[in-house]
Formats: sequence, C-alpha cells, structure tokens
Amino acid sequence: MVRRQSNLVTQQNVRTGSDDNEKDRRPLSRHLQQNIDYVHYRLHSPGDLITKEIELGSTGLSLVLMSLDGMIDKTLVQQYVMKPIIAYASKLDTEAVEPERLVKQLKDEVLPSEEILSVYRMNDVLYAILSGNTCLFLNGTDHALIIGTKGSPKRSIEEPQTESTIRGPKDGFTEDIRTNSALIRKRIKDPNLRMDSYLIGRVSKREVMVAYMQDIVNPKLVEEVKKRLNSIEIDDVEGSGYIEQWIADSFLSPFPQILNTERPDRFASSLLQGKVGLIVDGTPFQLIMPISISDAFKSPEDYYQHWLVSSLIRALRYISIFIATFLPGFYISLAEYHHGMIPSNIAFSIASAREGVPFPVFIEAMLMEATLEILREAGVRLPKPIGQTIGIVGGLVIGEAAVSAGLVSPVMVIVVAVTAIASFTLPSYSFGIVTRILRFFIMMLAAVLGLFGVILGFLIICIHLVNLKSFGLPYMAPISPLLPSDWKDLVLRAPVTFIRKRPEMLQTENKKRMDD
Amino acid sequence: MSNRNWEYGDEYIGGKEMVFTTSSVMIGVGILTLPRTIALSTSASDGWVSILLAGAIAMLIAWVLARLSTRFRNRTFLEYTSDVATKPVSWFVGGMFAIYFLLFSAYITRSVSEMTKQYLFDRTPLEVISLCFMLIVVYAVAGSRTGLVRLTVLFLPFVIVVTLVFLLLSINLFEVSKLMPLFHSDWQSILQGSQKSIFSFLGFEVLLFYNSLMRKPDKTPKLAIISVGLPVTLYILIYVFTIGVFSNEVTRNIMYPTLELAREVTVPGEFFERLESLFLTFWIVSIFTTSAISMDVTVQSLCFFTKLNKRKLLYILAPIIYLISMAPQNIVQLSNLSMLISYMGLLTAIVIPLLLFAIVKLREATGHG
Repeated sequence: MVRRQSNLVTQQNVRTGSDDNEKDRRPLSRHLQQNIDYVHYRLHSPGDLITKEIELGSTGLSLVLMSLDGMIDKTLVQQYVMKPIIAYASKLDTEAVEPERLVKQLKDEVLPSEEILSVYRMNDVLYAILSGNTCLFLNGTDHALIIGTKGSPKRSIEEPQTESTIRGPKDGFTEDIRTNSALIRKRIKDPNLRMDSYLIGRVSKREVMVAYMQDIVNPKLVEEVKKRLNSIEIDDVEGSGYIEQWIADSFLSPFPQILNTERPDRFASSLLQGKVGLIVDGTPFQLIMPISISDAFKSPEDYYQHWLVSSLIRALRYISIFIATFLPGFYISLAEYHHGMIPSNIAFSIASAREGVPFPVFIEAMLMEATLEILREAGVRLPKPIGQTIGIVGGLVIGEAAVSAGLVSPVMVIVVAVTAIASFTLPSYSFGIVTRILRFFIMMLAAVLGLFGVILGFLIICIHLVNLKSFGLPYMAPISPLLPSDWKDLVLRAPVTFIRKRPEMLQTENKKRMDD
Repeated sequence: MSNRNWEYGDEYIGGKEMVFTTSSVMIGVGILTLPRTIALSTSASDGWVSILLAGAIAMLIAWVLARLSTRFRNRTFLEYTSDVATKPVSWFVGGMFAIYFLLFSAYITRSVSEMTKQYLFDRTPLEVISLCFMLIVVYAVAGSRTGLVRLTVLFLPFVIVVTLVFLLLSINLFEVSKLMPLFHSDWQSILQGSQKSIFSFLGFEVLLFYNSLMRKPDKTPKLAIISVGLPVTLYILIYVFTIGVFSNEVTRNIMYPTLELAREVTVPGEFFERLESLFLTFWIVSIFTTSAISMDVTVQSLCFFTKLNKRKLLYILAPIIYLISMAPQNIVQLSNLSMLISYMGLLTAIVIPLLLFAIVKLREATGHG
C-alpha cells in the first residue's frame, strides 16, 4: 500500500520482482524516440494509445503527447493542451532554443492546466498514462510533463438503490472516487476533514481514501484502520466488499462488522460522530467503521423525522428482528412439542388447517422458507420488471396452489410471509441477511429441542455477540457494556436538542456536539 | 492478517457490570423452590422476615468480602490469599472454591434438565438436555471474561422484567386473606427459615473473583450491598405472591412453587396457555448465567495453580461436570447433592473469607500487615 501524494503519480512502484518492473524505475532518456519506444513496448502498442507528434516551428525540436483514448477528456486536451502548444510552436523563431527552458515555459506559461507536473522516471509516466493523464515528452530533456486530463466515463449521481428514504437527500455515491469525495466535502466544509489517499492492490493500484475528522476521532482508531489496510496484499480489491472482508475482526461471524452505505449523508454524519470512513474507487458502497449492533436499526431517515415517529419506528425494527429470527422456530416448537401452550380454540383451527398436510411442521416450514429464499434470489437477479412478476407468481400463485393442494397449511404461509416482511424492515441489507441465516439455525434447534432449543439458540447468539468486536468496539455497545448516555440514540431517538454529546462508546477526542 | 490490538480499555469492568454479575449468580435455581422451603418452617406469610433476615446477613458478609478484596486492588483473590496466609493455604482455598463451583455448576445443569423435562418435554432423555445446556455454558466460558460479564448485563434486566410481568399478571389471583394472620410465627421458626433461605443467596462470593477486573475497586463495598439487595427484593416479591396466590399450606406441597405460580397466570386475551413453560424458558437464561459464571470461577481457581490455559481446562472440566451432573439417580440423591453443595457453599462463601479477613485485620493490628 502506498500513500498517495499527488493526483498524477505514485511515489514508487508498487509491484516489485519482475525484470520489467526494475526497468520501469530507471530514469527517462534524453532521446525522445527511446522513451516513446519504451512506452510502446511496455504497453504493447495497444489500439487506444494515442501518440501525437508536434514539430516546434523551425527549431528542429519536436514534442510528443501520449495518452489513452477514452481515459482522457478529449475536448480538454484539444482546447487546453493542443491549441496552446500549436499556437506557441508557430511563434518560435529559428534560433536554437534550449530544450530545458522550453519545457519550463510550456509548464509555467503555455499550458493553462492546474494539474501539471514534471516526472523523471518511467514508472511515473506509465502510471500517469494508464490513469488517464496526458504525458508530454520533449527532445533533449530528461524529464516529461504530466498534464491532468482525466476524463474516464462515469455515471451521473443518482438516488441510492439500497437505502431509500422519504425525506432524506436523494444523492447517492457513484463509482467515481472524486465524485464521492466531493459529495462528502460538500457536506463538511471543515479543514479538519482528512481524506488520506492510498493505493491498494498490487496490480490494480486502486485508490482508497481514509476519511475522518482529525479533531473528533480517536487517533488510535485511525491508526488501527490504517494498519489493517496496510496488511492487504492482493492484486486487486474489487469493490469495497473485498476490503471489508479483509480488515473485519472476525470472518466467522455472520454479523457485518463494517457498515456499507450508498448515502453520503450517512457517511458524513458518521464521520462527525467520530467514526472512520473508507472511500473506495470503483464502487458506490463506501465503508464505515467501527459499528455496533445498534447501527443495524438506524436509518438516516430517523434523524429527518420527528423524534416520536422515529422512536416508534425504531422500536418496530427491534421487534421485527426478533420476529424475523425467531418466529418460525417458535411456531415449529409450539406446533411440534408444546401443543398445550396454544389456547384450545386456536389449537383446533391450526390442527384442522394442518389436516392432510403430509409433512411434519419442520419439513413444512423448511419447504416454505426455502421456496421463499429461492424466489427472493430469483427476484434480485432478474431485470426489474420481470423480478416483480416473479414475486407475484411465486408469492401468490405458488403459495395459493401449495395450500389448496394440501402440501402446506395456511398458518405456515402466514408465518413465513410475516417473517419475510419483518426481515425487510432493517435499513441495512447486510443485517437483513443475518436474520435469514439465523432463522434457519433457530428452526433446526426448534425442530430438535422445541422451546428449549429456541432459548439455547438465543443464548448462543447472545454469547457470540458479546464476544464480537468491530475495531475494538464491543459489538453490543451501548447495551452491554452499559453506556446510559448513548441510550438517547438507541431505541428511543431523543429530540435533536437533547443529543448533546457524541456517542460515548466511540471514545472521541471531542465529546460534545453542541456547546452548552 | 494484522494483529488486532486496539481495545477500548477492555480488560476492566465498571460498577454496574459488577452488580449485574453478582446478582445474576445469586438468582438461579434457588428461588424456584424457595417459597416451599420457607413455607415449611414458617406460618402464613411470615417468611418474608426470614428472607429479609437472611438477606441482611448475606449483605453484611458481602460487604466484608468486598472490603477484603478492595484492600488488594486489581489483584486476584488467590494471589493475595497466598500472600496473606502462605501458599499451601491458598492452594487449599483455591481447591475448595474450584470443587464447590464445579459441583454447583453440575448441580445447576442437572436441575435445569430435570425442570425442562418436567415442564417442557417428557420424552426427550435427560442426558441430551443436560448435554446441550452444558455445551452452551462451555461456549460462553470459552469466550472472554469481560464477555461473560457483559452477558449478565444483557440478561439480568431481561429476567427481572419477565419476572415482574408474570407477577403483575398474577395480581388478580392474589388474595390478601391468604397472607393472614401476620406475625404468628415464633422467632425460632423464622430463624429456621432464614437458615434455609441463606442458601439461595449464596453466590455473592464471586465478587472476590471479579473484583480484580474492576476499574474502581473502591466502590465495591457499596456495590456489594446493592448486588445482594436486588435478589432480596425479588425473592420477597416472589415469595409474597406465591403465598398470596396459593396460601401457605398449598405452597408447602408444591415442588417448584414459582413455576406453578406461572402456571396459574393467564394472559389477557388468552393468547397463550400454560405459561409455566414460557416462564421456565425465560428462566433458563437466568440459570444459564449462574452456571456459566460458576464454571468460570472454577476455571479461574484452577488456572491459579495449574499451567493449563482456559481452553484446555475446559476440555478437561466439561466431561467431569457432565458426569457429576448425571450421577444422582433420582430426586432424593439430587437433593442430597444439593445439601452437600449448600454446606460447602457456607464454608467457601462465609467461613473462609471471614477467616482471611480476620487474619488481615490481625496482621494489621500486630503491625505485620
């Protein structure tokens, strides 16, 4: 991993070992043709490599511009690179001109670009060309000019797909790291906002920015995050999921220990709470750490609504996660082992509904849950309009047909449907998946040991959670360890004027959000 | 992978955690039979005096123990025992604690299985139920010690709330006349009741073992009183409700009066029936913390004089605990085991620490401290 200092070059070559890489590190040649040949040799003269030679008047000197088609902003190159150079070249007189002075003039006077830099090594040249900049070689100099002309294709800012809100802002992260960092900068105009850039991936040299508020965040946390990032040794980190899996505390836990979000508002407010964010190039999902289980129930929406509304909705989410995890298991254990606990009139209607169902309750539940998971997966993978059709066909037609064919009981359909809907109330998709995994686990325990099994499952989950950590932060905080001051923003979302302090569990440098 | 060192001062616990841990250990299986044992020796509802008396004694002793361990801040109990009273003594003390908590853990495992079999399912073999319970206790102890403490923080409020809800639901069955006549028991029978109920308070001695984790050990004496006060209040409430619903005579003849109380309860709207199964299910959580902390104390004591680490010790201890828990052939043998454990508990919780305290005081008085 290399700390990235400038937008245009990497300070050293990340890949080491092969002969070519050793050659890349050597200084540039004074002979124009040698340099151009070397670039062509290293890149294997690809079809999108543009090499444009310009004669400088009658000086006998010539310069060469190299860039990759598609990676550059063509109008920018034409308007602000080619045009001034051609105009300048025509004015040059026939007297011999010192090449070094010419380059200096080009750099300081001719080219109206704010991103321009002299480089002396081949690897810098290669990196600059590959990342969409234009490289200018001149006869007789031992350095080249790099001009920032990046203009690779990017998507426009759209509404986040996975975390939609009603009252929140509608802009979401895109795949372009500059757009994303700008979205954060737009929200926090403070000199203490740090965005330290690193290049990760031996081959891909993907840019990752560690974002935090210098005056708020606990410095140990930043150190830990950077240390873990430093341990990444892989050719490419395709998307933030790779980084998340590499630096998370426990890879055995189904619970996400790093939050991913598509929402710049959530990202910015997390930074202001004292968390650390990672902006990864090439993905709209950015990472926030550390998190605790309470983050599973928080949506940015909560802070835009009236506190009573958000508190009630949050309470609903807490109930939902219990329903989503335990309801089928609970139903199985009641129907299979503890008939006595169901009041007799309900027990009769359940029994009559189950009349003729050829499977035990557990198999029935597994069949329905498995069908539901298949439908859900199919719905996600298909194009949107067809996905909805699948939902209707699967949900209504199969459910109805299964009941009338006597394969499952209507009660089971209700249980499975309620469970599925409850699992959708969690604002974060990755937490929703956890309930799906745990549900099957609880169902199996319930099938073997009834209610005793359900409570044992509950115990196992709790034991796992109290031992789990996210970057040193206990995962069950602020419930256990008990931090009463953080309860203002747990189930209850206190009125904004009441939340005077930043979360205590994050142990921030600057604890107050408001002055007294 | 990078090493994950950064912690939030994690090796320490706060005052609240201490209270929750100590109370959690005390609230376990004892309360399920307590109303019966007290009803046997007292008349009408006078047993609450017995509980209060026993509770006061427990508080006093817990306070003394807390004072003792506060003197040796952030050192473990067995470490300073070996300083104060020679190494062989500390070996004996550690051994006693290890054996006591080992037996205690085994006993709890067995009795939770007995109850589960009786109230939840009668066809599943006892061995399977205890094995599952044991495995989960081992899983909990295998985690970090602060994790275990945090588990009690999570569960105790849950247990207390569930109990209070059940008591509230039974309020329409409560008859004040069944509590009458008040104060008819003589002092002897009240004392006898206290003597029996003191066993339900055993467990507060774990504060000797967890005090070394405290961030501010000076607060422990005050916290010890709160820790004992919480179960005392809960026990008196449950006892009074049991007598108020069943009357003294009936309570005497019920094996698990507290669970039977839950059986009588009906939910408004009759959404569920036979709530004792549900109550027991929730109560398993409370019993679980008691068992897990007992096993952890055993492990702590044994770690003191063996070179084995926690994992290895657990591999050795788990089968032993399981075999002991399966050893009693019937309820009579089980209650004999429980008597043995109770008397060992008196020795470890009261006699040994008080003697140590006396030694410390004596040394100070003679200027050797």
